[in-house]
Amino acid sequence: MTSTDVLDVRAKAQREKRRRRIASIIYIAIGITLFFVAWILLSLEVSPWHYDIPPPFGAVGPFQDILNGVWGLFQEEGAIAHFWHNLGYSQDMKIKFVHACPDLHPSNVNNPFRQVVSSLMGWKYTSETAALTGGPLPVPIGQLPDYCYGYATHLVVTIIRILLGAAFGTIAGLAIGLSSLVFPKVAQVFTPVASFFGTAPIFIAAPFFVIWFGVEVPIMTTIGLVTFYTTLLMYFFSRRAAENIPVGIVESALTLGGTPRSIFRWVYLPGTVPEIAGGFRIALAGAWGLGVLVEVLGIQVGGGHLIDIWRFLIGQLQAPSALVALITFYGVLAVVVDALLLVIIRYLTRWSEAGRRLGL
Amino acid sequence: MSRVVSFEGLWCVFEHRSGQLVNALHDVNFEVQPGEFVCVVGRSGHGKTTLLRVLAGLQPPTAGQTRLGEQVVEGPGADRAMVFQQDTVFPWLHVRENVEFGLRALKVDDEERKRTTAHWLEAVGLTDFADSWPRELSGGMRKRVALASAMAVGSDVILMDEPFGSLDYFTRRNLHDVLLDLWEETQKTIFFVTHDIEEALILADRVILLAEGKLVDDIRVDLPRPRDEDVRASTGAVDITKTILAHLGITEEEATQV
Amino acid sequence: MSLTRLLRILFWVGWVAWFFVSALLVLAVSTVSPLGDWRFEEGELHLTWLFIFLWAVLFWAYTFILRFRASIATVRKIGKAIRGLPQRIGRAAKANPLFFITWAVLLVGWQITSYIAPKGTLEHPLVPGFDYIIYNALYRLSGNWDLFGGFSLGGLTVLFGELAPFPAIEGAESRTWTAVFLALGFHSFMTLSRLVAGLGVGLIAGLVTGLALPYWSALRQISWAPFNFLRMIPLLAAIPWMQFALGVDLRATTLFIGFGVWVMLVVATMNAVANVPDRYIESARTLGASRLRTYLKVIVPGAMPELRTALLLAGGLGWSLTIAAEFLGFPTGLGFMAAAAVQETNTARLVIVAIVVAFYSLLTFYLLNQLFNRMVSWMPQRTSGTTDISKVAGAAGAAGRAGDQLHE
Repeated sequence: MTSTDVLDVRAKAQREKRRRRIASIIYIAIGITLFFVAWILLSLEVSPWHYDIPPPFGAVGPFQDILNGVWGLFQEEGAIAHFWHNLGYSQDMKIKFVHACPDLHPSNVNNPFRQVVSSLMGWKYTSETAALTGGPLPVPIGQLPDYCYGYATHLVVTIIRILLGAAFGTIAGLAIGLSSLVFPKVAQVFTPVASFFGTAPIFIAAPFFVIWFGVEVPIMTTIGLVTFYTTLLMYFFSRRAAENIPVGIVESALTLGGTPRSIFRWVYLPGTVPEIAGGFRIALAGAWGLGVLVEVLGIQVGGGHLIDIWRFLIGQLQAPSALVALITFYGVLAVVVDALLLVIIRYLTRWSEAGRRLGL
Repeated sequence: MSRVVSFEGLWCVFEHRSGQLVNALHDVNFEVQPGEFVCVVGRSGHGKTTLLRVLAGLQPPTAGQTRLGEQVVEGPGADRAMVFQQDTVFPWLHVRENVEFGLRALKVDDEERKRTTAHWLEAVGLTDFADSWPRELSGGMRKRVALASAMAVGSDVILMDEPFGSLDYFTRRNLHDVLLDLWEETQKTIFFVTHDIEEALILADRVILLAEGKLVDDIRVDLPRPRDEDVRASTGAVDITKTILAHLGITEEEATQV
Repeated sequence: MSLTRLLRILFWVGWVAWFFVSALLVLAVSTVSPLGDWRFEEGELHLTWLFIFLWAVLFWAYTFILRFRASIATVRKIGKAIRGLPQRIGRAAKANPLFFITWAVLLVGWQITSYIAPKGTLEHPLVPGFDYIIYNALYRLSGNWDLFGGFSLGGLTVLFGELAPFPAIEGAESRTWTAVFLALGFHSFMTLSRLVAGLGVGLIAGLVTGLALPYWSALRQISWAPFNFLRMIPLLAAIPWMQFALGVDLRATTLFIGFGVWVMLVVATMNAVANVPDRYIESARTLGASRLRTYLKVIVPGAMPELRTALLLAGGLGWSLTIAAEFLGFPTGLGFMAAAAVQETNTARLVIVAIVVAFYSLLTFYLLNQLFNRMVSWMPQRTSGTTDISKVAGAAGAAGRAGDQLHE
C-alpha cells in the first residue's frame, strides 16, 4: 500500500459519506411523499373519511385529478388552497363576521408599543382607523378596513401571545428554579406547589383563566395560561438540569474558592443550558396547543377563535378544509420555530455531547 | 480444532474530522499458534484496540486480511468472543442469563446449556451469584461474568481489550490467576491488549509491540510459570522489560524530536 | 414451578369471571327470597344499595376464601399503614416544615382572598371560599347525578333511581350528599374509562411501533419526517376536527388519545433505541448473536430506561386530551363538568373538578411509575453522580459566609 492508495482510501470514505447523506435525504423525501400520498388517498371519494378529510392540494378525484392536484394547488377545495384564499381579505370571512383588528381597541390608540407592533405587522394605522376607535366597541362591522377580514391578523395575534407567554414563563420559571439553587428554601416552598399544579393536567387550569380574564382582558387568557404552564415546566427542567451536574464539579469549584455567586455564574448557569434548552423546546411545543385551545373556549380574537367559528359551522362543506388547514398551519409553525430553536441551541451547547445529539 | 490466527498485510486508515489521515494499523503481519497467550502492548492510540477489533470483525480493515486457519474474518462471530474494556455485562439479564446469552444464540439444547453455564460459573467462582442482577455485583465480579460468557460460547480465540484496566490492583491480580487457570484448562488462544508491562509479563507467552500502528517487535516470554515476584525479578524478565521500554522509549524520543 | 404459575393465572382469570358470576348470583336471590329489595323485571334491574353491598361481599369473599393468608396479610398491611399515617405525617412535618407552611398559607390565603375579592356581576363569586365550595357548589353537584336513562349492558338495563333521587327531575329539594358522590363517581368512571382505553391502545401501539421501526434502517429514515411532523401538530387544537371526523363516543376518544400517545411514544422510543450504548451491541455480536437476537435481547431492553420520562409524558398527554375532548362536546365526564361550570361561570365547581382531576392524575403517574419499575427491575438505582442541590448550595452558602467572616 502506497501513499496513492491512502488517497484512494480517503476518496472512497468521502464517496461513502456522500452516498449515505444522499440516501438519507432520499429517504426523508420518500417519507414526505408517502405522507402526502396517504393524505390524498384518505381524501379520495372511495375512502370512508372522504367527508372528514379534505385533500391537501386542490380537487383530487381519480387519477387525472391526482395529476391535476399538483397544478391545482390554489383550487378551492384543498386545505392549502382554502388557507391561501382566506389568509388576507376574504369575502367568506366577512360574511361570517370573523374579524380581528386588535389595533382598533381604544386602549391601543395611545400605546406606542402597540403602534410599533402594528406597523411591523403591516396593520394600517390611519386616521380613518383612529377615528373608528374613538367610538365605542364593537366597531360596526361594515366600517372595518378590509385587512381585518382574514386569517392573517388572527394568527399573528395568537403567535405573539403564545410567544410572549412562553417568554414570561421561561423567565419566571428559570428565575425561581435557578435562584432555588442558591437559596434552598425557595425550592422547599415552591416544589410542593409546583408538583401539585404540574401533575394536574394543565388544561384544567384553562377555565379559570377564561372566567377570570376572558371578559375583561381577553389577551391575558392566552398569555396567562401559557405563562403559568411554561413557568411550571421550566422550573422543573432547571431543577433537574442542576441536579444532573455531577457533585464533583460543584465540590471542585468550592475547593477552588468558589463563592455561591461565582459557582452559580460559572458552573450552574452554563452547565444547565443543554437540558434547559431541551426543556424549552418541549414547553414551547406544548404551548401551541394550549394557547390555541384556550382561545377556542371563548376569546373573540385569535387563531383559536377561527377554529371555534368553523367548529360551529361544521355542517358546511368548507369546514373540514378550514379546520385541517388551520391545524396543519399550527403544525408547520411549530416545526419551523422548533427548527430555529434547534439551530440556536446547537450553537449555545456546542461543547456538550448531549447538545449535539439533540433532535437526532 | 484450534486454528492458527494470521494477520496478513493489515492496514487500517481512519480519517479525522479535520480531514487528516491516521494509520491505526500500518502493514501488520504475524501469525499466532493455537493455544498461545499473546499480549499486545503499546501506548494508547497506537493501534492495539484496532487490531483486536479487526480480528473480532467489528472493524473492517482498509487493506489486508485476517484469517482463522483457512477462514477469512468477515464479521463478528462466536468463534472469537471478546471481553471489552468497558462494562458490557447486560444489566437487564441475571448473571446466569448473561453467561447463557451466547449459548442461546448458538441454539445449544437446554441440558447442554445448563451444564455449560454451571461449569463456567463454577470456574469463575460465581455459582452463588447466578441469580443476582449485575448491579448487585462488584466491578471485578462483573468482569468475571464477562469472562465466563466469553468462555462459555466455546470459541477458539478469546479477545480481551484491556479488560482489567479499570480495576484495583488486588482484584486485578486475582483475575489474572482466574484467567491463567482457565487458559491452562482450555488451551484457548488468548489475545490480551494491555498497556501494563507487568501484566504482560505475568500473563504472556508472547508480547507483540505496536507503535504508531506498526509491529515493532515480537518478543517470546520464556519465563517459568507461575510468574510470581521472584520470576519477574529474574534477569530474563528484567531484560524483556528493558526491551519493551526501549521500544516505547525510542518512539517517545522521536516524538519529542519532531 | 409452571404449575404454580398456572394456578396463579387461573386465580386471576377466575376472579374476573367471578365478578360477573357473583352479580348473577345476587340477581337470583331476589327471585327466591323476599329479602332482596331490588327489582329485576323484563331485563331491567332497579339497583339498590343492598344489591351493591351483597355483590361487593361476594366479590371479595372469593379472594378471602381462596387466598386467606395473603388476604389477611394485605388487610393487616393496610391497617398498619393507616395507623402509622399520623406518625409519618408528623415526621414529614418535622423534616420539611416549609411544605406544610406553604400549603397552609396558600389555603388560608385563598379563603382570605375570597372575602376581599370583588364578587363580580355574576351569580357565583369569582374567588369562592371553602365554605361556598363545600356547602354550595359541592352540594349542588348532585344536579349532575342524572342517569335517568339507566345504563344498558347488552340485554340488561340497569336503573339507578333507587340509589338516590335525581335532582334534575325532582327539583332542588331532592339534593342529597349521596347523589353528590354518585355524580362524581359516575363522571369519573366515564373519564377514566376513556383515558384507560385510549392510553392502553396508545401505549401498546406506540411501544410496538417504536421498537419495530428502527430494526430496518430504511423504514426508520422514511418514517422520520412524517412522525416528527405529526408530533409537532398541536393535538389540543385538533379536537374540534376530531369530534367532527370521529364523532363523540368511546371509539372516537380511544382513537384520538391513542393516536396522540402513539405518535409521541414512537418518536421517544426511536430516540431511546438510537441511544443504546454501542458496547452492548458489539459485545452481543462477538458472542455470536444474530441481528434479530441482538435487537430483541440487547437493544430493546437497553432502550427501556430512557422511556420513563416518555411514559410519564404520555400519561400527562392522555389526561390533557381526555379532559379537553370532554370539555368541547361530550355530555359526560369530568371535562364536561368543567365545561358546565364555565357555562355558569361557577369557579367553585371548577375548583372541585380540578381537585378531583389532580387526584386521579397523581394516581396515574404513580401507577405508570410502578409499571415502569416493573419493566426495568434490573436497572441500577441512581445513587452516584447526582448531587443533592440543597446540600451543596447550602454548603456553597456556608463557604461564602465563612469567606466573608475571614475577610472581616
